[in-house]
Amino acid sequence: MSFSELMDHAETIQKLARSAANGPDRSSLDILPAVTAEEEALIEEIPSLYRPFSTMPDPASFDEMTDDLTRALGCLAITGVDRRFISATSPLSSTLETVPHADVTLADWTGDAAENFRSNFIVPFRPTVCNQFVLVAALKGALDAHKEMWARARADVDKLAHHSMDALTLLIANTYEWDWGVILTVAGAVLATGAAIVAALPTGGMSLAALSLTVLGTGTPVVVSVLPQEHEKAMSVAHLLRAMRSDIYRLHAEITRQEQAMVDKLTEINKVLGSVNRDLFTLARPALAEMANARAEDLTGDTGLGAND
Amino acid sequence: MPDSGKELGAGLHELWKVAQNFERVQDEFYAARNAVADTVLKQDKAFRWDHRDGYGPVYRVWSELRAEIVSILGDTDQSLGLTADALRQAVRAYARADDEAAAELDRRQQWHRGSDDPGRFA
Repeated sequence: MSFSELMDHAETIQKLARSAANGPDRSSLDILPAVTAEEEALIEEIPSLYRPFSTMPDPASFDEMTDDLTRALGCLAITGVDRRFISATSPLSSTLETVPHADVTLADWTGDAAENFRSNFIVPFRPTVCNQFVLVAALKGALDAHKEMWARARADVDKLAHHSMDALTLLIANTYEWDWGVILTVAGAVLATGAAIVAALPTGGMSLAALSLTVLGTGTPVVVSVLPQEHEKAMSVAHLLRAMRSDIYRLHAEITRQEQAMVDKLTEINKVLGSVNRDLFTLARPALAEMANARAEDLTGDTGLGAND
Repeated sequence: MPDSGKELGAGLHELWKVAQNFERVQDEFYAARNAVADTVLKQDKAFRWDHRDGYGPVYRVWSELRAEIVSILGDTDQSLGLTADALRQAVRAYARADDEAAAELDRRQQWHRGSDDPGRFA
């Protein structure tokens, strides 16, 4: 891997291309090169083809954010969450489990606020937290996918540069046999996984909701070939540079395609949160929460906690 | 109906434990919310590609989702805190009206404070 040397590679490719265009015979005769205008244009543009890729984000720059989101997932890991999105060794939160258990205590109190608290907060607590967990997993998954995309794009453009240098070196030595066909792995970077959304049952417990979300993640290391279009199998420097340029454009297009796939999936989630289904991810504020400054008789009366039964 | 005396005191103690636990649960939501929100401080290098203006197409929808999650977790955090406050106030209100219940509540709270258990459910 020599991505950090990408622009050096571009310069080398340019020199090799110029040397190949000049041809060994011409240079030895010390005459003006007979490089065609098309060849000259192709050679001139080489650095500008590679330059955008040299400033691609560093995949490691995602790590701090994914660490934060891994921590958030740990905080929300109540029994019932989708364990695919956290490490198998991550413990579930015993602290969060105390909320569903409060149902037993609140059941002893007869007031309206106690009943409201039970039915609107404690009963839906577990499924709602499970769904909140999926949201954070989706947020983190998008970062994982994005990171993987850049890692693969870096590897691909580096591979393309090396392939070009090797081909031009052989062309200069007059031993090149056309085998252009660089495989771009960036195409397989993003993986989409379905994640179930759950709803509370009135009696406690939870069931699957008529809704699922797509969580992005890292694609398995399946190599997806994005071969260049058929090129004329000739041995000229112009043909080689056109093939290289074609693959660079293809790499750029594939990055755009991968990003659009991420945008589409994240937009779907944002639309869900903008719809009535948002309720599956939020807990209504209990009436009790509004009584923090209430009078004593209201807190203990029929509209409050009422009698201890 | 154990509406008074020692039995009420025992019931109040259970409510008090719920309030204590809710504070700890609130801490978890607070931490989760902050962990999500903190990504704002670390996003620049990841989303910026000098080749194009701004943060690129993924950032807009991703940050929109992040803002929603921060809001949702923040609401849950706040609800838990306010509910814990209301429960504690209710416990005090009941105890003020019943000396025997108050004494029983106090005895149980002392026992819990003496143990390492801040009110965890068995």
